[in-house]
Amino acid sequence: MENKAFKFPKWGIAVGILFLLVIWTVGQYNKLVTLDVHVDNAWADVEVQYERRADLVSELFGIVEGAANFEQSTLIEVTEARTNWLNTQADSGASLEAQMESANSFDSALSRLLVTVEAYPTLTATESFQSFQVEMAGTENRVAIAREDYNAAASDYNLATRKIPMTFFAGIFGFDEAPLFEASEGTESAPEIEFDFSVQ
Amino acid sequence: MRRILVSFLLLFLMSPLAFAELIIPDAPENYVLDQADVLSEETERLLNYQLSNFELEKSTQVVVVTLDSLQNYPIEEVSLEIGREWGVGQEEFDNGIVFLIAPNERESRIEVGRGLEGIMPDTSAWLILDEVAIPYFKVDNFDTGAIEGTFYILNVVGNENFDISVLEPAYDEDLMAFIASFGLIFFWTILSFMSQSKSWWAGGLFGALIGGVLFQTWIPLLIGGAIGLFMDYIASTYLYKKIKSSGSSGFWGGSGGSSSGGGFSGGGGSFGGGGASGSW
Repeated sequence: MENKAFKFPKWGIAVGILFLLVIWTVGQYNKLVTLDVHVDNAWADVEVQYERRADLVSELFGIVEGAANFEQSTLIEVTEARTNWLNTQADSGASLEAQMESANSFDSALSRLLVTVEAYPTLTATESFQSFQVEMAGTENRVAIAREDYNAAASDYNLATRKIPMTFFAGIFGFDEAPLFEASEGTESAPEIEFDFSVQ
Repeated sequence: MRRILVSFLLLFLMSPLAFAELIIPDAPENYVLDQADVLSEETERLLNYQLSNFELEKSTQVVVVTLDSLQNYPIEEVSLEIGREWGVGQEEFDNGIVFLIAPNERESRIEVGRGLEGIMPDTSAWLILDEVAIPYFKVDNFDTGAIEGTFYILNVVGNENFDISVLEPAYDEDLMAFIASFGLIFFWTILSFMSQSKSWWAGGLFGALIGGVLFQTWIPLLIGGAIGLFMDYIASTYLYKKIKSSGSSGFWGGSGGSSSGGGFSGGGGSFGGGGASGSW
């Protein structure tokens, strides 16, 4: 009985290895797809939060414009940055990099404006401004988190596409590198901020 | 208030800088973690009772946390990490809230899960902190501040009823795990039994039997038979020696049962930075 043991053909082994290889590649591919979807979702959240901020900024304009002799230059800057961002957003052909750039300039223009606003005590003392500030703080927090989450998702994805062996397939399958948010350029020359650490 | 806004700007500007890694305490077994030790035992019991009942009623998870130190991190980042790491709120609704108090930094934050941002907008969270909790924190009455603050939080988010049936599946998961581990043991026993014999027809017979009995038609019977044959062949040729020499013990040693009382166990809710912070 033992002599009659079935002999497994050699080509069967090759077929088996090939089969496992295909299964494995499919698994890797699916992993990349999942990571790619995570990046897309994270980016969608970035867009939502910037949208929210853009809405809030128009509210800020309403408040600020009522103030007498408010410094116009920062206001104009923010208006332009906001419009620029909204336009890039609406432009379906705009690359992620371009959108990030407009987001960054929106960031720095707005932060300059918010600092400027602090110099108008009559403005900041109003109740409507107080509640606006809470909204603004919440929005800035969400924007910051959305950016961080996006960067985390994009880094995961980029790492996966750059590792051997997926680095050979990533190009074939059309997995391009996802751009990352970097510290926005304006922040290096951030304006001097007078901190008010007195307990109110 | 102004300080908060400025600190947000700072957080925003400096986020790419590296800090020492933030360490989040392990998720507690209850809804209250009083690391800073500023709450009385009675307060903890009361809050815990209220919060566990609240989850049973609405499925919304609220945790109250006091921390020794924010480790030089902005409070927004700490509360976010707590919410995410502990998975406060149900995964289906993202209905979690972290009420964080940092007595040493004199800061507090209500972190609101994504699913509650509608019913608890930032301004509401701010009002609860500013008008209710912080006046007590100011005079070092953390007990009353935490109790009153929680009361208002529950009042606001209690207006939304989430489906509490999501609290059940914990059972199903346990059952599934049980069935799966039982199945694995069963499968392994069969496999080791079959690899004892060098013949491989028994597997085919067994597979055919299962296929036939389960589906009562011919095709599954044939498929089952083929799979059984194949597996028994593998078992008999490759696993034969291995199993015989090692015995078949110690393969499924570590399946401990999970116990759950009325305590806190994170549901996997997600956070996107909603809520408000305050200082005193």
